[in-house]
Amino acid sequence: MSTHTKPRFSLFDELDRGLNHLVNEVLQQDGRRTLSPPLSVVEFEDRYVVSCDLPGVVLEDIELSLEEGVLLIRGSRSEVSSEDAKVTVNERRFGSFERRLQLGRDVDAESVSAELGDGVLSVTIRKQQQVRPQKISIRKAGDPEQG
Amino acid sequence: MSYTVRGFRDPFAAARTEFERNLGVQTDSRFAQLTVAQDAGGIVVRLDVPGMSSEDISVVVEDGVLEISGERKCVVPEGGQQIFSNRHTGQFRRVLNLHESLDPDSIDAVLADGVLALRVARRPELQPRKISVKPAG
Repeated sequence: MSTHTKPRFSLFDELDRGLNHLVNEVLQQDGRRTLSPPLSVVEFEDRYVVSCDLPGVVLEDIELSLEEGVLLIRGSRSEVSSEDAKVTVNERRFGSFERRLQLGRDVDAESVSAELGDGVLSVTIRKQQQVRPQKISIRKAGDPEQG
Repeated sequence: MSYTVRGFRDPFAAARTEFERNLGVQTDSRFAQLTVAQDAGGIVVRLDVPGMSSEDISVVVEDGVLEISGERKCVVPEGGQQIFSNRHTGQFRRVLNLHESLDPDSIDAVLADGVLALRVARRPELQPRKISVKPAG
């Protein structure tokens, strides 16, 4: 029996890999990985309403911009907890988040309003006047033009 | 000699699963993700429930089992058409086994900014207490 056989499996390698995995996970939670919160887009005749789930995020930590039809929602979420508390289960994600949304060039960048309530950010973006469907009246041939 | 250990890729995953199993936390939830923080006075469970009102959430404690459930409805206002959504809608249910050192009668639930915070205190007889030291005589 040879004494120089290297084991194909080493518990220490496994342990090392496990530790690295755990450390990376913690680092990612620390903001290295950008979160993309879920959102929905509802289109109306004259506007879009974008709703984004941001539970526990305060208004000051949200940045909103609209440029060339792209809506950008970004910010960060931080946990409020007392210092002596020990977190034993942690499914919620904290750190920076970012969501980009292409809305098209028909939106009016000047008329964006947003509100935050119950952990949901609602952004209303009006469409430009000229691209809204307009009702065109048809006159009878021969009738004089009104107005 | 070679040996392989099956199902032992991530020793920490196994420990984590075991830990969560003891707590009774179901880990496959897309909605109402939670954290449990523990201090000397008890535990605080926080769940992300954005867009929900307190009437839509039910918190029940029975036989040391804490159950949080509810339904998030998809409401599209009249005249609107939903063109995209990856937000969760429908029912959710989270269940936690409370340790016997916790007092189920003490649960205090507060909903703010889409986060439901449940505080469960340790049983009064197990609360840390300060014992005053008197001088002799």
